[in-house]
Amino acid sequence: MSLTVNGLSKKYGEKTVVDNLSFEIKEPGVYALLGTNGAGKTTSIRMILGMLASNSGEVIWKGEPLDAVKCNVGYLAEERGLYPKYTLMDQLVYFARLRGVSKSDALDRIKYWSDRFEVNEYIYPEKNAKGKKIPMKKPEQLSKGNQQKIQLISALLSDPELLILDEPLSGLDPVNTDLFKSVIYEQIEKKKYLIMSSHQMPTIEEFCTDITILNKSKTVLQGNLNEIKKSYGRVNLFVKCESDIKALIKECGITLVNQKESEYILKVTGEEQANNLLSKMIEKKIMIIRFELREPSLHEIFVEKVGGDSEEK
Amino acid sequence: MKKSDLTGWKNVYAFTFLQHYKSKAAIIALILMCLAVIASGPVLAMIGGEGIENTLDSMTECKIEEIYLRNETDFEFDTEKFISEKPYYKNVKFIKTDDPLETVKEKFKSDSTKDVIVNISLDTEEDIYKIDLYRSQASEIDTTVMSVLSEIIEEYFYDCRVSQLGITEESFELINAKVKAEVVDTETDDEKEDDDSFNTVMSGVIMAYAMVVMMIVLISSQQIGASIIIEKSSKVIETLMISVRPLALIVGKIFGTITILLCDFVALLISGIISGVITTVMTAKKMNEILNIVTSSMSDIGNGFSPGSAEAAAFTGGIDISIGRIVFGIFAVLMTTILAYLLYAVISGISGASCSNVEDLSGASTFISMITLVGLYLCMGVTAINNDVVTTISYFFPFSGMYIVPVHFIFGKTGIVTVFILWAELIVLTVILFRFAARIYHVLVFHKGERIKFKALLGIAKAEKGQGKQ
Repeated sequence: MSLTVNGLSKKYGEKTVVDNLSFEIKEPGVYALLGTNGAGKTTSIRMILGMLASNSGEVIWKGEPLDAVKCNVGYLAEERGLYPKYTLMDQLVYFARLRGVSKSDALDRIKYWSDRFEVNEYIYPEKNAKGKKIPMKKPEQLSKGNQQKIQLISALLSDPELLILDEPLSGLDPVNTDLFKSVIYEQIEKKKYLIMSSHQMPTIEEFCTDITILNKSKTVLQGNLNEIKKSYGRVNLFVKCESDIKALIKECGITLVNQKESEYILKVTGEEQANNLLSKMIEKKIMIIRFELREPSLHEIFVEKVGGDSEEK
Repeated sequence: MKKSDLTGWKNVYAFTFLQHYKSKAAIIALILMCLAVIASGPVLAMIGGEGIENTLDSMTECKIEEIYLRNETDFEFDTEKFISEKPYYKNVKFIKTDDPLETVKEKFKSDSTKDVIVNISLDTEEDIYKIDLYRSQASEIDTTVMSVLSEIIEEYFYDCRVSQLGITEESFELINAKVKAEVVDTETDDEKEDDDSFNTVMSGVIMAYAMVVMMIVLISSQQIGASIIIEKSSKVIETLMISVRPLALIVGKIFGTITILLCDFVALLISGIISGVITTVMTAKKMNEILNIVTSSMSDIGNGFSPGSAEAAAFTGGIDISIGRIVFGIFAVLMTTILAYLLYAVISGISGASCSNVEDLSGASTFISMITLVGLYLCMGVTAINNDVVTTISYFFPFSGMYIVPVHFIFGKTGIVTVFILWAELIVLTVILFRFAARIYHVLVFHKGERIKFKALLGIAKAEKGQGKQ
């Protein structure tokens, strides 16, 4: 069972918004689709799901062309949307029924997820002391975070095999971010296939094994995240010590990126340069609190790949 | 178009239907409409529809004590005969007077509050008989009693004129009949008289039918357009698109809305029947009258209308129309209304999807309003100008044909072929627009920004034609 995206392209008139996108998810896990605003992530997702017709290319799921209406797919859209006036229960049952879930199953699952996301008060009417139902908040009155929770519930109601999350954590407070993360981890444990689009690089690094970075409709970097990082080598050096080591840094020919009190962020050409600095610090009996040589972060790789070309739309 | 394009339409249909009736506003509006319909019959009957004799019977004892009668005409007003014919006024004292009206009025002011002056005169300038009734400002006699009295005296004075002239009522009406002179072509002379009454009845039916159809299609198309815009502006459309194709979405909405209209119609029909029953019970005072009405109705249903029967003549304004034509005509009316609704629904689906927010809806409705007006003007043109060219154009222009053809068919002005051609046109046009919608709808639902104009829609359709779907 795997998902293969092969040569997907989309043009609006003369403008190409997605150019020959290809990737494959062989194993369950999270695949990241990264890119600047307007790079073509959402359009790619819409084409993968068949909402938008592509000019060329194909999406194969379990050996057959993916038809989101027929397959068990969950989708959290970037633009969250709920009917403003209808009750949340009605909407969730409607979305579940559209995905082919029976009403009784839908009700059970809504209960499970509303407990999990702590949104019972918005879905199930409560009664006051006199036994009368207390009017519930309308969807349009919910906070952004709560609306997002309802949206994710609707995406999960069919217990999808393939889950596509477009910016799932944007706009969430730290508590809700952790709640969402725990649900995503749960899906990973259940061996589900996930595609995630996000601007939050630490989140991507936390979840994703493979990535594609898009820039101006083109794929600029693709592959296993660890492999990509390794290919860049360990060039980031973080040093924390109790003495001023600027002279030593200069002596070793190391680039000082940033300094904050006794913390130094440095860029080295390789491990040899870092070892040279370490030897000199030991030699001068400088008290070292932290000395860490590491690969570039995804954020750095992303900025390097698309930096300067970033196009805000 | 594949079968899977319609997967999920039933869920959309059920959701559209149920959510409409879960809306308190919709329910309250429907209840108010039903109550208005139920109340209309009895209220109208109470106001004036029950006949003067019934009104007299239902009134309490007459409060009028004296009637001062001034009769300036040459016709004798026999008060004794009047009282014998209208026993309600048996306790009223009639005082005939020749005093000037002003004198009577002066005397009247200082007199009782239960007296009335009746002044009958001939207005030579306008050439009409006038019957004026006066009461004092402090009078205890209410307006209803005065109105009833004026009607009864008018009726009685008419009878006096007829009897005192020594002629029959028919002769009296013939003498009073107006004379109308007209220049008519010899070729059409024989048909002219029939055509006039025929066209008057038919024009009335066409306009009434056109108004009903127009209301149905405009209200429903407005609802469909608005619901699509709400899904777009609330951004719920993207969540829906994962589970249901655009076509299934619009089909579910179209059928959901027509079911809502049908349910509202049935509710109003039931209200109308209830209103009719209440009105009948109110106006038919004796139980045997009610039974007579019921028995007569059952008998009518059992026998059916026979061509040329009084019932059929009443229905068609005195024009003899076969039962077969009426039955198929009613079917034609229903079928045409449904096809017109479907056509308008698809147009509204496209125009609604071309907007991004509710504010744009009025702009998008312009096209729908325009074609509706064109159709309606053509329809009015046909009823006003009896011209074959205009009529033929209106038959085959779907937006006017939908109003005219079924009615013209019922009245025998056109044949069954015209009805079938109109249906074919409506079906073909709906299918073309439906296929057009299928091609562009998935682009439109994600459109944000200004409303897309028709030319741009064609451009999208052209571009999408070249693209193979996954």
